[in-house]
Amino acid sequence: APNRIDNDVKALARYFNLKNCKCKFDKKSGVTQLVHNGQTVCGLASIASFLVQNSEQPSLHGGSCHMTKAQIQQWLQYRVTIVDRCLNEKDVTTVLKELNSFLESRVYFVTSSLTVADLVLYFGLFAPFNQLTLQEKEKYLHLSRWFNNVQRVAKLEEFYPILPFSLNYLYEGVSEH
Amino acid sequence: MKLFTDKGNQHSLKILVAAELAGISLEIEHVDSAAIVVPFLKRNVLPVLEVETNEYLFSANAITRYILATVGKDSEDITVSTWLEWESTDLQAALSSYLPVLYGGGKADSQKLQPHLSKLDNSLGGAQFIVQDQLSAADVCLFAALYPLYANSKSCFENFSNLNAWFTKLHAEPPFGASVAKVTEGKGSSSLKASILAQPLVNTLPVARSVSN
Repeated sequence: APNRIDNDVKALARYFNLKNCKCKFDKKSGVTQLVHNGQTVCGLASIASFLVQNSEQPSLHGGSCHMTKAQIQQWLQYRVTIVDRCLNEKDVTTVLKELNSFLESRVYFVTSSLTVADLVLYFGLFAPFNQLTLQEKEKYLHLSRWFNNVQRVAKLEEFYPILPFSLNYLYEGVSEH
Repeated sequence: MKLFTDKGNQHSLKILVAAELAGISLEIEHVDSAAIVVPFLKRNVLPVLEVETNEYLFSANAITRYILATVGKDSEDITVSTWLEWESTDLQAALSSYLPVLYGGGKADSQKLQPHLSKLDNSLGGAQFIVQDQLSAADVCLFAALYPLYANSKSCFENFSNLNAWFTKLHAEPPFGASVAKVTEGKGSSSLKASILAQPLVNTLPVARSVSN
């Protein structure tokens, strides 16, 4: 099975349509690298920032506002320091609770549109979400709503299959799809 | 802009230096190490910057870049990002388990830090700054991350001449020296102990890296 972070880098490169790039995993340092036109970028968060900087999808970096940029950096860091470093179920549950709480009044993580922060967090949360039952997903109401939204908007089914969500809480009396 | 931090938190040093460099005056509120300042977070993540009412930044590195950016002093060079990512992952994974032992009076195995200090030493060469020979958030954040080592023992980088030169030169700069004085309240390494012992660990990457979906 491909390394999870390598998978994310490949998906990001595809999403941002960056040509002439190669993804490498350096076993010695345990770091994923992106090589593009002779330049090497190390680490998932930096690779995501690099792809956004060089991308044909400028909207995904959320604009040039300093606070927006900082928030994106913050959430990319959250992915690599917290989400990727959960050691047990309790860690994962804490993450799901925090993010669910954060998204209570938000559609996306940063600004009101999809940004690279949403993509990178969606990739990172795929594995834990894949383990949840429909009922457990409903416990994380806001996070599930966000996940369901992003997975449809991202259009990366070849890397991340669409996960099922119950819509009962939105449509009363209608049976699950 | 209001900074929430516990006293003697070396990560707040990053932000204080940035504020000095930017010529910005920060309102600082001291809170308990266990305080949860950001409503949605379940864990302590001090320091936190309240940029506007209820708008928070809880990554010290992102806050540092933000403050520098407001005065046009944040670099777009991707190497700044890679150094900050390395600092928040690899370096902090090593430091967050090493420092509590060092400051808690236990026997800390300094061998654990050798690869990290060596990497910095090699990358610096004889340069004054770590990215493109220009002061950046990378220098600020790495300086602050390493500061507890220096506070404990001024000869901690003696085997790494480039690293030692880089660190001591920065330390001698007024924005750095003034910020260190603020964080330690002039009391030296003992002022850092309580915060260090309360800070959450950064885990090392789980060994099984291939996860089948």
